[in-house]
Amino acid sequence: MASEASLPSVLAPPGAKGMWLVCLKRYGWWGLLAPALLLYALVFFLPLSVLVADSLHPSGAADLSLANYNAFFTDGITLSIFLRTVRLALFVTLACLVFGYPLALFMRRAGPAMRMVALTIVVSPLLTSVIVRNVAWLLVLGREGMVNTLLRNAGLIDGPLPLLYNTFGVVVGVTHVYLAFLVLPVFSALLAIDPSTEQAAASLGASRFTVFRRVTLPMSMAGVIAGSTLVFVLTMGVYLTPVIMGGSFVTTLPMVMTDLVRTQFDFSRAAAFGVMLLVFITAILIASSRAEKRIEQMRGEMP
Amino acid sequence: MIDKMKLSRRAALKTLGVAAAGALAAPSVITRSLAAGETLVVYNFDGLLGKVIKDHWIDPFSQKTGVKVEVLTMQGSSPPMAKIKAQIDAGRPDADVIPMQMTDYIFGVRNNLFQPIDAKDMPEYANLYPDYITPYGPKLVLWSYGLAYNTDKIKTAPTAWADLWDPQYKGKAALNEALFDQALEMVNLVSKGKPLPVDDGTFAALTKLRPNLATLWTTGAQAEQLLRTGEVWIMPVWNGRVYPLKDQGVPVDFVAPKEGFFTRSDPFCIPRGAKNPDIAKAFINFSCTAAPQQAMAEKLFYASPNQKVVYPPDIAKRVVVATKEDMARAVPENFEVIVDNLPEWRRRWDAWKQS
Repeated sequence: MASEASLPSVLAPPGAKGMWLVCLKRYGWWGLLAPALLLYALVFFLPLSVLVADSLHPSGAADLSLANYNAFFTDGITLSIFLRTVRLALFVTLACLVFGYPLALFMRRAGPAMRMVALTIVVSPLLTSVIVRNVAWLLVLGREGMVNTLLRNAGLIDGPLPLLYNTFGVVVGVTHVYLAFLVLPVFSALLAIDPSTEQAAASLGASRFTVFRRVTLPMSMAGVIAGSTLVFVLTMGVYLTPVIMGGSFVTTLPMVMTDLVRTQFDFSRAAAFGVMLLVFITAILIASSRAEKRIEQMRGEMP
Repeated sequence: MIDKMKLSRRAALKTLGVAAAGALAAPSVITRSLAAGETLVVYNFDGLLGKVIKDHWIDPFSQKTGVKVEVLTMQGSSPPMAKIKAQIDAGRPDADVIPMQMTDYIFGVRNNLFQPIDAKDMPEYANLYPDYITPYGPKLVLWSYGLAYNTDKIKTAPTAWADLWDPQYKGKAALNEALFDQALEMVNLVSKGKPLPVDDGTFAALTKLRPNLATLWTTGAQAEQLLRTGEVWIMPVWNGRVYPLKDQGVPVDFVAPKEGFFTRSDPFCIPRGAKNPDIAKAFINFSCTAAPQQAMAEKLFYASPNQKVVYPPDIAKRVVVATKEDMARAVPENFEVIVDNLPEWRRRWDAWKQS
């Protein structure tokens, strides 16, 4: 921002107009970035460094120690809960892909009105409180819920199906809301595909399936990766849905952290587990952006 | 004129001085004029319990003294201890009065988070059962942990915790996850006849219960919802969560099982560095008195440590611990042991859930 104040003096020497433009571009952009950077430093990086420092001092001890990180791997349960959280996130991502990709395809083909309706339906769960959403699902999936009652009345089942208070219930509840995070990037990637490429493929004799497999799908891959990453990363942090729809039988790492803080008062261990989760998520994000870049490059190489 | 004014000012100062001295000696008799306009910040429970405390403890205190009471609502029934500890360590707690769960209380005492409350500042202590007075505040809201069951689906009332294991309740029972230590003690009462220790035997008994468990719940509101929808027929829960449902026409009832029930209570504490400790003491003392305590029992069926509270017969049954003898019948709990073992129990509990 200081550079902006000094701009006029830079402006003064005539004939240096081109240079000034370069300067404005260079410092101007940084100037624009500065408020956000400052905010992030204050609300993210600073607390994060406090968190990391905390995590290295188990139970407020003065000496630095990796005991909390050690516990993550060796306490006999946390690593297993973490892996199950990863598994849950993979299930949800898969479910979002299965339901979301066809929906995005449909939205691409649909007219503007239909598109609007579909978009509203996909985004609507984000506008509802997580508790309201989950409790509504309890009424649908419960032992005496709508699905089980319908199936029983239709004579299709004898006993109620276990739709709730297990991994299935959590996947349903989380997919319901995170579907939007997959559909939106995929939809925009699909929109960016020039229809003439698909028409060209078709005119060269490719079947509709081949057109999809060889043209549409590869060209929308960047959106698929972005959407899947978002859904995966968000699911790694779910807390309320496993508590309500998983009946706490599905334990996620955030639930362990909450308990550490709320009932065990072991803030430093909770901090360490939080840092582990963050490191994992950062790794996923880096891998995902690399994959996207690869795809962009590959597309560039395509004639 | 000037003399007169001086005189009156001196008189005023004198009165004020006396009032202040009186207030110091016994904050509970803080006069309206002295405390009026001051603000007291109190953590309160959410839901019905919070409403009863607001209507029958906070508002009457406010009216009586002219103190403005600001309420911070807790999520569930446990205060945010991490935040509170950080604030107290920084010398700036955001509240003057905080109700604690017993495990929070032990943590607070160990970390020197509370101000001691001297009995001489608390006239109402004279009427409380001594067991319910701690150095850092009185234990109020005596909630009892027993069995709730659906009276439509279960015709013969259960009498024992052991009934939870009955195969006819396959997939129709539930346990509390948030206070899982209490669930573990309950399992021990059935399998060992005593609440502690928690060991392999405890988890073996828990595994036998697993087929009956539809779910685990973390908040009282969730427990209510499970009972209301008929999703769960039988489960351990607190009396104050059951009777209001029954009065709304939900087919549920509550029994104190024959192996023994648990009664816990919440110490009301003043954090170190609180802005208005004297008014806080006055508020806590007022909350201990018979009228607010009676209201708590009649509205929500949580018992009182105040010996002056007289329960009508129908309320006496519902509060579970209406008399000193009833209180003595509650299974004693060792909260020091619970807090020390909580991390280990939690790991075993989480492992059990995954097995």
